[in-house]
Amino acid sequence: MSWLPPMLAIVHILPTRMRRGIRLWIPLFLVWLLLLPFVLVLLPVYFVVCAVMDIAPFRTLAGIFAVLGSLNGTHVEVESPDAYVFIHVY
Amino acid sequence: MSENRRQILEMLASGKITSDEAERLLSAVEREPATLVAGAAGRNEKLKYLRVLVDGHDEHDGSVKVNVRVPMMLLRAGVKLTAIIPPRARTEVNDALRKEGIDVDIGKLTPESLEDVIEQLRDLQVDVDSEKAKVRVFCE
Repeated sequence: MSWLPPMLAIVHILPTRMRRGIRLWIPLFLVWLLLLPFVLVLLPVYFVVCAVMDIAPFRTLAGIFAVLGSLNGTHVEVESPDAYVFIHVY
Repeated sequence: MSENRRQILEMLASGKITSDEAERLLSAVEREPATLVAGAAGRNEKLKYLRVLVDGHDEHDGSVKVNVRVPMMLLRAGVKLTAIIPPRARTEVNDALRKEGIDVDIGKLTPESLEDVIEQLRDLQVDVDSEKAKVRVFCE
């Protein structure tokens, strides 16, 4: 099981009525880096909430990382007369 | 003539199935040996993805195609999220399941315990063929 979260997401939204749709290459590793300070600040709050709610904090964190890590390879493609949507997670 | 083909033809003769259904069943029977050989070779490989393919046609919206690939790892990892459930709620869920005749402790679910279920998904194949849409769900 990979513990590394996905690093890149490609999102294409191409409505047929518009000449140019949205073509995004989202570098998720930058998103994770930007989120890291907020996560560190919120970590004590998270532990307090876990203690109050009687939740295993480390197991929950491991679960969240496992879910993020397993998103690699997700592929969604929808083609209709109105639009074409393409999402791929690397 | 194989036993399967004979049964299909008998069902057709007795009017239990239509000629279209018989044709589909016969082609499935013909495909079966090739699928079995390929399946035996791939038994040792872990299932990686759940695939959903939809090829639909609507009178108003026109043709719609959907191609979704979900990693099986997500299913395995999702089991770990049972840790979010507080012990008190877990006990209540276990009791409710037991009342329904399902003796499972969700606190003891591990990704490894799901392997048998995932292995059974290898043979899963859903084929829906209607006038408006063709839907295929399978694992690869």
